[in-house]
Amino acid sequence: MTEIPIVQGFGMLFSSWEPVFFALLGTLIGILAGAIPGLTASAIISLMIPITFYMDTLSALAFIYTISKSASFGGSIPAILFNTPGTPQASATQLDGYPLTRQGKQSKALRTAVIASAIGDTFSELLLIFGAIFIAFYALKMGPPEYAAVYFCAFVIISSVIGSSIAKGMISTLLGILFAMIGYDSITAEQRYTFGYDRLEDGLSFVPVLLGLFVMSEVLIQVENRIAIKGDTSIAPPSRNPEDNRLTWPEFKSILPTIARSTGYGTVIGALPGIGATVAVFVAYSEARRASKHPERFGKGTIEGVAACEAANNATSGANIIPLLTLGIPGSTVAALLSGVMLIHGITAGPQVFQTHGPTVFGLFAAGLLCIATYLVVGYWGSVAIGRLIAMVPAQLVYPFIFITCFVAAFALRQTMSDLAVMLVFGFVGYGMKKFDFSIPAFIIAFILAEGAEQALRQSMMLSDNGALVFLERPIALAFFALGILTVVMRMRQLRRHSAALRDAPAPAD
Amino acid sequence: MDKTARNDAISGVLVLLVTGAFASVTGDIYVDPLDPGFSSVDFPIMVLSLLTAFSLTLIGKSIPALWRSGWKLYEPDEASLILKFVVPLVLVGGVYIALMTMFQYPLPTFLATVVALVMFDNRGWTRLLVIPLIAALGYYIVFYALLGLHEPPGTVWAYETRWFTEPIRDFFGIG
Repeated sequence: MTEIPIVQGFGMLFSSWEPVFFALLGTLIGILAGAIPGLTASAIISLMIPITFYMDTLSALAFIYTISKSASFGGSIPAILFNTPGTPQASATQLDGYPLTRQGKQSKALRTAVIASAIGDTFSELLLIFGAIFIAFYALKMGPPEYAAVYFCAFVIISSVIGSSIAKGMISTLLGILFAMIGYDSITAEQRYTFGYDRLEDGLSFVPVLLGLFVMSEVLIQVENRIAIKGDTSIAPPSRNPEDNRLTWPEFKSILPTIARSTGYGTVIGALPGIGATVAVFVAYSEARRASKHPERFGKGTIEGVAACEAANNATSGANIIPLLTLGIPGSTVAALLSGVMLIHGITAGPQVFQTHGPTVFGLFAAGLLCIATYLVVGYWGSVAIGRLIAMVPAQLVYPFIFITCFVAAFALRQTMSDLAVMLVFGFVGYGMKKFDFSIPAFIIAFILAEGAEQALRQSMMLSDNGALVFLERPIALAFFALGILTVVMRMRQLRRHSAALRDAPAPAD
Repeated sequence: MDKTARNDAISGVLVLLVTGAFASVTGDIYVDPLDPGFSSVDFPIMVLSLLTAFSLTLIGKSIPALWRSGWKLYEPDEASLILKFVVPLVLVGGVYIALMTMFQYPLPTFLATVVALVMFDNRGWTRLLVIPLIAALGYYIVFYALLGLHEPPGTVWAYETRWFTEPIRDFFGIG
C-alpha cells in the first residue's frame, strides 16, 4: 500500500530524537526571539544558520523553519503587553492588543492571538502539504525558457513591490545579481570580478553576506539610534474577573468568521512573492473592521482586531514556502534563508525536490505541524511569563552580544578570516541600504537566484537558433513575462496615485 | 533640505561608482571566440547597463529638488551621529578581526565585548568585566569546544587550547 507522504514525513521526523528536538528547540527560540523588539526572525535565523552546519538535513531545515513560524506569533507578545511590536508584522496587533492589556485583559488578548495564529498557520500548512506537490507536478514540465521567464517575473515583482521606489527596488535586485557573479562562472568556469584577489575566486559566501546585511546592519542602526530601554515595561495587573483572563467559547465562535477571512487573505498574499506578512496583516485588519458589526470598537481593544492580525500573520508562514518548493523562487526573506540552508545541505529548491528529497520535505512539513501544536500550548499558558522574561533583558545588552555573535557565526561556515571581513563590509553596506531606503530582501533573493537565472537564460539561448525569439515560441514563458510587466505598470500607477493624493491633500490647519 | 532627493542623489552616485568599478574589470572576463550565443560576459554587461540606467534615473529625479533646496546635502547632527557611533563600531569590528588573527579568539573577544557594551551605554564593573568574561568563555565553549571550529594559530601569540576543549568534548561524548 502506498504511504501517504505526510505520514511518511512524520515517520521521518520521529525516526530519531534529533529532528524532533531541534524542531521543538526552534519553536522555543522563535517565540523568544520574536518577542524581543528589534530582533527580526530573519536576523535570528541568520545567526542560527551556522549552527545548522553540524546537524543532519531534516534537523537543520526543521530548526530554521520552526524558528520562522513561531517568531511570527512571538512578535505579538510585546505588541500586546508593552505596545512594542516584536516583529514588523505585529505592529497591527498592538492596535487592539495593548488597549486590552490596559483593561487588564492581557491573558484574553494573548490567548486570542495564539489561537488565531495556530488556526491560520494550520490552514496554510495544510495548503502547503497538499497543494505544493500538485503545483510542482506541472512546474516540472517547464524548460529553461519558462524558468528564465519565471526568474524575470520574480525579480521584477520583488523589485517593484517591496519598498516605496521601483528604481531603488530594481537597483537592490541588480546589485544582488552583480555581487553573486563574483567568482567562477558556473557554465564556463571562467573567473569573473575577483579584482585580482584569490579569496574571491570561490565567490562571496552566502552566510557572511546574510549576516552582514540583516544582522550587523541592524546593530549599526541601533548604535546610531542610541538605543535605550524605552517605554514602560511593567505589565498592567490582570483583571479579577475570570472571564477577562480567558477566551470563552461564545467569544471564540464570534471571532471564527474573522479568523477564517483573515486566514484567506494571509494565505493568498503569503503565496505571492515579495508581498510579505506586514501587508497581509494590515489588509486583514482593515477588512475585518469593514466587515465587523462593531467597527467603532477597533483600535480600542477588541479581540476581533487581534484575531484578524494574528490569523493573517501566521497564515503567510506556510504559503510563503509554496513558490520556493514549486518554482525554486523564494518569495520572502525567510524562504530565501531556508533555500540557503537547503543549498548548504545539498538540496536544490524547486519542483524536483519532491522527487529527489520527498521524505525530507514532508518531514519538514511534519515539523511545521509539530511547531504549531507546540507554540499553541506554550503560548496559551506561558505568554505572560515570556513577556516578563523579555522585559528583564535590557536591549543595551542584547545588541553587543549580537555584534560579537556575528563574527563567530560568519567564521563557522568556511573558517576563514576573510569571511569576517566580508560580513563587516556588508554590515556597513546594509546600514547604508537601510538609511537610503534600498531593499535588503530584494538584494538577498536576487543574490540567491542569480546563478539559476543566468543559467536558465543562457540555456534558453542555446536551445534555439533564433536567440531571444525562443521566448515568443513558449506561451507559459510569455505569460510570466507579461505578469512581471503588468505588475510593474500597476505599481507605477499606484505610486503615481499616491504621490498625487499627497500633493492634493489640504495643508494642515495652523 | 529635501532628504529623499539628497538620499537619491548620493545613493545614485554610489551605485554608479560600484557599477564603474565592476565595469572596469569586465574586459578581463575571458570570452571563447567560438562560443555561440550568450557568453560569460553578456549577462554581466546586461546587469551593469541596467544598473547605470536606474542610477542615472535616480540622480536625474533628485536634481530638481536639490536645486530648489539650494544643493544642501547633509545636516551636521546627522553626520556627527554616524561619525561618533557607526564608523567607530565598524572600526572596532575591523580591529577585532585583526586582533583575532594575531592573538586567537578568547582575548580579542573579551576586549571587543567590553568596547561594544560601552558603545551601547553599559556601565559598571559587572557589565563591563563579568559579562564579557562569561561571554568570551561561553562562545569559546559552544563554537570551538562543542561545535569543533578550528582556531587558526595567532601570528603574534599562538597557543594550544586542546587541554581545555578535549575534556569538554569527552564530557559530552563528542568524538
